[in-house]
Amino acid sequence: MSNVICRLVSMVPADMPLNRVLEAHRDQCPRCQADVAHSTGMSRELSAMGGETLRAPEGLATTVMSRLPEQDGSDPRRPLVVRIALRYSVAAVIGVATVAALMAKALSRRE
Amino acid sequence: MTWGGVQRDEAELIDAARSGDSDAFGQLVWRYRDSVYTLAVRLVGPDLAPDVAQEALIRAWRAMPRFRGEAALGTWLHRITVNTAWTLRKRASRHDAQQLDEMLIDPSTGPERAGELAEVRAELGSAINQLSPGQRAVLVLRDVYGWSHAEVGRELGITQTTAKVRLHRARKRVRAILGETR
Repeated sequence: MSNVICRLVSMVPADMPLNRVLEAHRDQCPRCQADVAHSTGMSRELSAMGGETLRAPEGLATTVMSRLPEQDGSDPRRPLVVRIALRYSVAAVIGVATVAALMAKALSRRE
Repeated sequence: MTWGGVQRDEAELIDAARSGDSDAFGQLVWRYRDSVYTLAVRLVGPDLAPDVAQEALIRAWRAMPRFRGEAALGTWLHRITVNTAWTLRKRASRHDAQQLDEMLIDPSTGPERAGELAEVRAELGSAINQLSPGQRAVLVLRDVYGWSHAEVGRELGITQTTAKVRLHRARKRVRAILGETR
């Protein structure tokens, strides 16, 4: 039973509150506490990586400067916007086709 | 950074770059190249990172007239880098698993601590490498760079809920991998 509760505790994302039963279990279970300590340590390590910077390869800046095209004010996020639009339009087409098929089926039954 | 013997502040460089001054943009590239490259390495690994960083900086140049200064230039460049890495991720997936081991050793720490840190970071880097591109991006942006779920979702084109689910799975996977290696 304890194993099951440990698994339940581990399934709740770190930024979501636990309910009272799970919280009480976590506070007294050595396994869950070790788990929490492990997660905290990992978060700290990951967060520390955010303050570190790698040196870019020699020549990166020179290569960029030698390849500069004309400025056109284009949206650098355009590929993302196009992808999202495409995803929604595909979903819309599938939805319309499904509704049309269902309506056609209903009509044919009536006849 | 000097400009004709006079120090130019960032706002001045940005204004000039927005008006098409490539020399001013060059100075900005010089200032931000390491930060853009670092993010690229974390997102796609060291093999593809130079391409991503280059492409991101070129996209930034093209888009400079659109930059209104609502966010800091560094933040804006990071967003472009994330977008570039994300759109090039298919190319990234064709590369062999890349090691992050050589990165992230803080030079200010002593040699013993640096050795320990290097080991921990190497394990962490290797675990991050084993994540799917989507999980990796969310984990890096949220846990390494401290972006909010909303920012992560917006930049990756996913909902906040998806971002949270991916993050939870990514953390669990990294912990499981670290558990196996320790």
